[in-house]
Amino acid sequence: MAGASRNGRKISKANIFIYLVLILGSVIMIFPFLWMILTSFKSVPETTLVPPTFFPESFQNTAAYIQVTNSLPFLKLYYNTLMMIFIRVVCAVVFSSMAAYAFAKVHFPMKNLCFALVVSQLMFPAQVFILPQYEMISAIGRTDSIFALVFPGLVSAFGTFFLRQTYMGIPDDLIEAARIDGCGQFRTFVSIAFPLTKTAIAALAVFTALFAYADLMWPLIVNTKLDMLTLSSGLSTLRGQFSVNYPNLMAGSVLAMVPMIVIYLIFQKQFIEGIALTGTKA
Amino acid sequence: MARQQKTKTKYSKGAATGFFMVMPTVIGLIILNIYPLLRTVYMSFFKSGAFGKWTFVGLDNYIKMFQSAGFWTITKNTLVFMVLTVPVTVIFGLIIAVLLDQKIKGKTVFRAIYFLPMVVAPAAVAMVWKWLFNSEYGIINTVLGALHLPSDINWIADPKTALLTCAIVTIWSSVGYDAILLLSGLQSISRTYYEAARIDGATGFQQFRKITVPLVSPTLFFVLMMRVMASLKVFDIVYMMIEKTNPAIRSAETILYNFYQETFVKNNKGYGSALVVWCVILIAVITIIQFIGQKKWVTYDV
Amino acid sequence: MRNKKRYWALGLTACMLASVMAGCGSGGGTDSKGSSGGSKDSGTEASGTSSDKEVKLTMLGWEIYQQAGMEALAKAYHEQHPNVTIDVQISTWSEYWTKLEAMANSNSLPDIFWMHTNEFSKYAEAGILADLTDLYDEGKDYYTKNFAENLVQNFTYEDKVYGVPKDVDTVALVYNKDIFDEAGVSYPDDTWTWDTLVEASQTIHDKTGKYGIMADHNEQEGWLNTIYQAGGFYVNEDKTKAGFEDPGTQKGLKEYMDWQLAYDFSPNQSELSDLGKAERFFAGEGAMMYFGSWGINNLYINYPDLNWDVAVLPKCPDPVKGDGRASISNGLAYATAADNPNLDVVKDVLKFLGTEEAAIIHGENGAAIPAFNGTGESWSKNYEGKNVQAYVDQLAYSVQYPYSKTKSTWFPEVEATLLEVYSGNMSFEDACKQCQQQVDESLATEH
Repeated sequence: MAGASRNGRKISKANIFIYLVLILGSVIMIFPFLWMILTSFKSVPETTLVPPTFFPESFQNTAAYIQVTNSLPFLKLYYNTLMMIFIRVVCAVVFSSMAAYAFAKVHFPMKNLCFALVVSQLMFPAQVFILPQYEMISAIGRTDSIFALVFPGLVSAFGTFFLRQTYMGIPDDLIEAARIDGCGQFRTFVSIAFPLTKTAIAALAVFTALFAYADLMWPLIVNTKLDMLTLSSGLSTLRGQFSVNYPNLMAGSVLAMVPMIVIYLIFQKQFIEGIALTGTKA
Repeated sequence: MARQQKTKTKYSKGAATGFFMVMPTVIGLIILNIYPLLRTVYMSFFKSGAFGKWTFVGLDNYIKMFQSAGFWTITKNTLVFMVLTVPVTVIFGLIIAVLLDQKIKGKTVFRAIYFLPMVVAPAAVAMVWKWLFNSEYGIINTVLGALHLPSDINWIADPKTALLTCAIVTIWSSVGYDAILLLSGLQSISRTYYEAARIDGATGFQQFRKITVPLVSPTLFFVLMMRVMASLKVFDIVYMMIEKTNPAIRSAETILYNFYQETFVKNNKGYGSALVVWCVILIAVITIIQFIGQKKWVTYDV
Repeated sequence: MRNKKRYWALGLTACMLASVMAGCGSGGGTDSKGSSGGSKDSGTEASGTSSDKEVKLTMLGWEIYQQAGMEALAKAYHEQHPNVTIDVQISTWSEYWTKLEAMANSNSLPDIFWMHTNEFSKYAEAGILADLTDLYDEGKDYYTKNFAENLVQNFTYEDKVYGVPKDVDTVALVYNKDIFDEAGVSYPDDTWTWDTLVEASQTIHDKTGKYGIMADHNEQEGWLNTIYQAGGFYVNEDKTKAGFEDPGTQKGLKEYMDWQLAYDFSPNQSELSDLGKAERFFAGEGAMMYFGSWGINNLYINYPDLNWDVAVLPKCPDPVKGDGRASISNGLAYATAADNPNLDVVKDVLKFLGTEEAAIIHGENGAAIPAFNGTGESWSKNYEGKNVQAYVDQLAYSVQYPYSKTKSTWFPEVEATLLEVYSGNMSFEDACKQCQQQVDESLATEH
């Protein structure tokens, strides 16, 4: 609100309402995080006070952070998670863009069959795939590796479907024009269509990263070593270790959040630029 | 052969390229998903023994499934969970997206805030909310007490609230995701439509109904479809919040939770496979209904 | 048609490209690969001789608190046999069996893995485990001489031993001294019966407002103990019939459930699902709980300010049969796969793990009572000032944790049925009848 008045513009009633709603929503969104961070600095007895205290006795109490970093190799987990996310994002963007463009703009044999195959994947719960996928990974002897973490995300049905929607929105005239100029289908895709989907690509990158990050069961099944797990799955082993030592659990959660916040901050710029670009285009 | 090739020339010259472009995805999906899925369907006609010793039992698993009282409870719970989460998440997501699309200051900050739940690992989400909802030491009951509202609610272990609690957590963690998706749809609507409407004297709500909703409808449809599927596939959050010895388990157990129990705990892989097949059928039916329904409200190509 | 072929060829090329790309990306993981997945490859070189070739072995378990103990054992063996390195990996209980089965299905089991009674017969029957009967010169006698009878029996299938006993656990009464002092009740000791427990719980609850005993719906740390104290049984010896219709079983089960249902000194099941008994104990909300020896390490390390101690379980004052004493005890074992490529080396490691020397290393570094007879003290002296020896003492009259081949199928059903009694949706009698039926049905499929 301070920002709006600095602008010198009179704040309308509607705007006040908008701010109120957004701020109220923000409080609900932020509170659990705040609580997570506050709890991570408390001692165990402090967490079981009635009524609960808001602030920890001291923010210098980093015992929980020391304990969790001693029991989980966080640096390795960061590395594994980032590698997994990076490879999965690249695969999702490259393969899904190609497929999405073809589905949206090219006529080719068996297109409907192939598309049905892609869309139907969205319906299937991931738990179904776990055991057979494990057997495949194990058969090629690649358990306990980054490749094993990446494996289920080599291709993305979600990404294909999501990007297809975007390519559908690109006017056919634009594609036709390029084709008439003598561009091959693939060149049209690479040099004309693909650059127009920046927004969606940024969004897909973020979403793929999130899916990969959230995956809990797969890393636990396929990678046995503690130092080959991802942050999410590592965190769940913490749960078994400390049962409800909340400060430790929350400290682990805070540490596990850091890379995702960094990724979001990096991509947010792309996000906004992309959105602005599409906004002026239409 | 040659003749056949001729008839195919109705495809554009780039047809081969198009085919080539979808192949990595299609082949990948066949290996990673289709084959495991077919195996699951196949397995649903068998009774599992230890280590791949299977006995063919025909439709027994399905008969047992449809006859079990627990099966209808988990199906009902799953559908209730869908009803509890989908409309609220999508409507709130749309409201947030529309508000963020206005000319306001601090947009970036708000967007980041609403996106925040997405960066938390599901294990962490379950842990922090379980603690917030704790009936004695949790802050939620404390706040309710301070507001003179009922404050002795056992959110997680009361059969009346357990599923609702899981739904609240799910809404919290997915509303920002939907909002961001919808926002990208909204941002691509040309400002000229709104300007024209404003000149014609349309009110804000009229603009919303006549311009925003139709133009964002493809994205809205996409969001709705994904949300419905996700809600029918719910597992993680219920699994981590509601334990097996929780008296509320009967009213919170979902199809995939039961699948996990049967397949990985009780080692009834055949029966578990039948449950998954049922889950997929349920999702397929609801998705088809949505696809038929979309013709009534989704506008492509304006 | 030719066109189609071209599409496929193109598609396949794309796929190969994809896999190459992915392969590059996984570089970070290749160094660690050779251990578990690659044990097959190294097999040919190492087979035959067990003394000179470099061998890398893996051991898999599920208890993070035992990692230090396992690593100490690995180190001790490595010092005696510098060519053998053992890599210790710890999973979680909830993932362990899913993973182990998947590993068994793809012939990539770890070289040494922990075995639990619940799962043992399944693995033994399928012929997956290596026969360890003649591991020692004395043959089976070595086991019966040095380990408790029931432990050896647990990992024996058709007269052959398939597991080297590793550790044992029992269940005891853990109590908060401060709350007892506050209520003016004397501490639990071996004279306590169920009646003393109820009386003390009531006094504590009345005087302090805190919980007396926190009796949650729990099999191993709960009603199984009272069932056997009362002279009942869970499943019979030859695993053909459940005991839910036995008067002793019903007496013990009823008593334990009543502590929560008939009195007000225990939190109810809803409250215990909101916050477990252990967590409530850590928070100083309750005076007593039945607690397995495996949890002591956590209590000792993470709650140094809590004034707690251990006593043996109170006995049944008027058992249907027996002397009223029992504590449920279970043992784990080390096992290996029958088709392990380094079987000679692995067997030598297992042989070492079954010695008194190894048991003491395990006890001194570990979170569990070593299985080797008379080495329990090496574990209990880790917990200075606490009477954890009570866990070891109870081994004298402990009852083997009952299991059967299909337990993973029937136990969740029993658990759910009894939960209905706790929730007030079913009478105790009906629940017993239903449990009897559920277990009997499963047991019938075993033969």
